Amino acid sequence: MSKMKIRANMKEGGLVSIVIVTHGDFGRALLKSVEFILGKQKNVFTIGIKQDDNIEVLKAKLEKILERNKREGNETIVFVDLFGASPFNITLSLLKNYDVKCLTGVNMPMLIQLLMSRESRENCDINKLTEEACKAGIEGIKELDISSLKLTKEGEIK
Amino acid sequence: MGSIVFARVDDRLIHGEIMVEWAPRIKPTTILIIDNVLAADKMMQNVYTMAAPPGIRVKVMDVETASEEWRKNRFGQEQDRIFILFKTISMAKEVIEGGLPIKELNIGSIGKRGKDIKKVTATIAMDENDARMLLDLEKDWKNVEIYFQTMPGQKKLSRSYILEKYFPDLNSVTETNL
Repeated sequence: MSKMKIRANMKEGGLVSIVIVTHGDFGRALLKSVEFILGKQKNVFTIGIKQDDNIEVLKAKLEKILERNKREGNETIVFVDLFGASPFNITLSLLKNYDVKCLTGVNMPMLIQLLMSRESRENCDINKLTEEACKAGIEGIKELDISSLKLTKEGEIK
Repeated sequence: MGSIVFARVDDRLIHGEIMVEWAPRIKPTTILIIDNVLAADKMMQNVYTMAAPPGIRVKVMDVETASEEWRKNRFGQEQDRIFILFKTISMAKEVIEGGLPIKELNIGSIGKRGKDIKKVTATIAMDENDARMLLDLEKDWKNVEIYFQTMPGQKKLSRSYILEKYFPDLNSVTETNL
């Protein structure tokens, strides 16, 4: 993201800042898909790691966002796709200098939950935000088949 | 005594490819990262050991400690299968020259960094210094097979193929010196 765009987003202020760090275009596409439901979001950044990227360069990219958020007094939550993978390694290497939360296994339910609850005033405690997001992420995963539907033998609703 | 079952240069160390593709195939009991910088960074060591793939122990050592541990107890018990990871070619060279019995060295992933770096595969970028180190290794340690391969399903590319293709001058210089 360009300098100017970052600056423009920061002006919104107040909102917890979100960074999504993933392999490839997953994060960017995920945000786009979520915006399909919730509309355009402010103060959300994505970083995609390509196969031939230098990890140090990406780390610097993330650090720049975290630094800016810190300076502006904005709290940050970093979503990563896989526990133990490169986006995770980069994020955790920065926890020493930045007081941010990292959530792994990002999926649509958890991102939607977080984006919705960060808007409302009474949910401004960051621990509560992350707890709710994790819960939504886990609860959004279910295994279903025909027996999950409450049907009679004839295929009608009971 | 443990046995070294795999050795790889990968500047991302433990990451998605290692967890999902390599570790299930190699089935190591231990992933040993040998790196002087990481061995001095307690925080990042903690990140890698905490995020170890299920059932695998992660250890981090500097070159000296690794050589010592190998001499003392061959990295552990008889059933121990050691997967060694290096961040750089120079670290691998140092360890092999220190006497660790590495028979095959997989060059897996080295990101682009700065100028004068040649991209030799989709995920491996090397400068002349890297290439020279690989040449020296094969010259002085004839039984170390060096090959380039990012993912297990891909074809292995030999050291000589890559060096002749991307660093032809280096090859001829070395040959005339011989």
